Amino acid sequence: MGTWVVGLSGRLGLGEVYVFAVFIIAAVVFLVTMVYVLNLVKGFLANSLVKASAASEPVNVMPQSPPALVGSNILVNITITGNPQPYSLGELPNNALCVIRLINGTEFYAKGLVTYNPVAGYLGALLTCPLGYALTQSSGQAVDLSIYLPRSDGGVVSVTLYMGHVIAYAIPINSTYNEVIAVDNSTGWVFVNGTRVPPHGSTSFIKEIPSSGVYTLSVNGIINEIVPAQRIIVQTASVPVPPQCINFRVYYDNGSLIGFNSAGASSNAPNAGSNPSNNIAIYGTATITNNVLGATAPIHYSSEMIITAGPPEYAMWIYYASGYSINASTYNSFAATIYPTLYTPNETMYFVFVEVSNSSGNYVYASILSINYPASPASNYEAPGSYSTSSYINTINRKKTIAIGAWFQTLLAYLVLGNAGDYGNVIIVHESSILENTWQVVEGMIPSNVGSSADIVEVGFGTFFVYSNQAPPGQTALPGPPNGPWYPGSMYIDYLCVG
Amino acid sequence: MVVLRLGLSEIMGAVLILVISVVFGVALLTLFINYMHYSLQALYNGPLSPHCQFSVIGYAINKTTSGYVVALGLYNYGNAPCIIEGALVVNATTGNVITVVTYSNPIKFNGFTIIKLNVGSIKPPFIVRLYSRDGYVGGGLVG
Repeated sequence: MGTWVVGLSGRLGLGEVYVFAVFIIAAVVFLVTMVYVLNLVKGFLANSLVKASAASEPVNVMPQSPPALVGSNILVNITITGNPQPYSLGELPNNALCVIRLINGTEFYAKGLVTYNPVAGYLGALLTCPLGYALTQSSGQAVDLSIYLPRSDGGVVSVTLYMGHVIAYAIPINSTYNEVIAVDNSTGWVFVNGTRVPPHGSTSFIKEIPSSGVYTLSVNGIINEIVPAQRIIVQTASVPVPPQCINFRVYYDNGSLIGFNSAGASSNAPNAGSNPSNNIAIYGTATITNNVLGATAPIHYSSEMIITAGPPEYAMWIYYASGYSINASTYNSFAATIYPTLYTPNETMYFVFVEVSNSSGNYVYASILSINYPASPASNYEAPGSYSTSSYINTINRKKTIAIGAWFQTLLAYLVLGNAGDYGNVIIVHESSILENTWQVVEGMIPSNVGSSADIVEVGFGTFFVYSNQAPPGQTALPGPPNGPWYPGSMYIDYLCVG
Repeated sequence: MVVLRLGLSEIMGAVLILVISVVFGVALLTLFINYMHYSLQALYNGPLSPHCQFSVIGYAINKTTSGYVVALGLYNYGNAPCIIEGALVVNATTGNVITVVTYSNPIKFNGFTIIKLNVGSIKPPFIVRLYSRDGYVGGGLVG
């Protein structure tokens, strides 16, 4: 029995070729179809994405020149910068909406024509708006010209020119020329003397001072408006330096509080200090601040009185520096520059003082910024007793000065001289009116009768609080506030000089 | 000696497989083409179909003796004409419809156009919604 060898052929038969051919054709058809479909979907998605991103991209529209009136048309030349994609999606619409609004509220509108001019980096557009006739309506007092440009993706860009709110200021820079600042106080663009000014923007230029002193600036080209430039005087914040500080002994102007101490007292309890249990509390702080209000490192002084008893009450807080020995005859005046702020009108008084020592005792001379304190009856003031008259008391409102002066002197005597009973040695030598939120010099003269050997031993400043429900004459007294309200007395002080 | 010969059954088998393959392939291709046809049809009937799309690009408003007249600048950026048949004037704060305006002669437009809307005594601000015949709604705030 032999072995059978079967020879198998390696060739493909006709059937297999057909099958493969069908499969290949099917695969090709499938692939081509898929590519076609994917391209469709890709194109659709790309288009949608571009539109979506374009809608969120900022576009800047700027007029390039003042609008020009040519025949019955208004021509506007603008540029569009930003995302250029919205403008490459398809044909740009060649129409726009033009609206001119007059001062009486009437709005004229028309279909405008747009010619686009793509340039590298931006898109230029020239608009022709057939609205020239609107400028002759209602005296032609147009407020603005708005242009709305449709985009091929359905979006819109707009630009508004001229809303007529130009303010101009002229600031003298020398005897010949002024710097003119023109401010566009509107949400639209304006052209001032041909210079483009963005919404809420400004422009400035140097201009010779005309003999009339009046400038005229043209705004835009066709919607003319004469804007007078107001000449203004530049005021810069400056701190007046007391003359005492020129030839002087200066105790403070260098941003330092070294050597200063503080103390407080009230009519309810001379040693009230900041202890609320004494029915009336008074306290204060003083710190060096940064440069403010034109002053270099002034002291910010803040004091306050807190009421825990019924009116009337008085309180005082002082900052003082002692231990000096300055001849009061040679240097017989004192001054400080202060800036009163945050205080209770007619209730807070600021003052500067010096303590002078001579052979007969110690005296305090004070200069006060007076307050419009109601007149007596004095019985309401709990006057401390007789007042030591002085020829240096301001006699303009003697009654007022005496009424306040009693407690003012009592408290200052207590704080400076150490004895409230020495109120007769506290003399108000100068009184001036308080000016809120401005620098003012508070100064006083030491009388010559202190003698040639008298010395200034202490200088200081402070606040005196008057808490009263006393009404002005002829008016009903106001009810007293409940316990607890506080009375502020804050100021800046930049000099304290003896000269 | 035995001679190996392919019999008729093998030929018939190959032909049968071929026929089955062709039929199956044609059936699959038909199914796929039908599926793609309907998918593309839906795409063309939907997002890719010619339809109206418009936006309100700006407005002007004037007070006349008969009330407020709004001029709306419209731009049709779709690929079919827009036919505006009516509008709603909606309270800008509450969203409530204040009045309905219908156009007896629908406004048909391509590209840019300006239409007028008389809203009577309704003071701006308010929202205008314009309805096109193919269902597209566009509009914006006036005032």
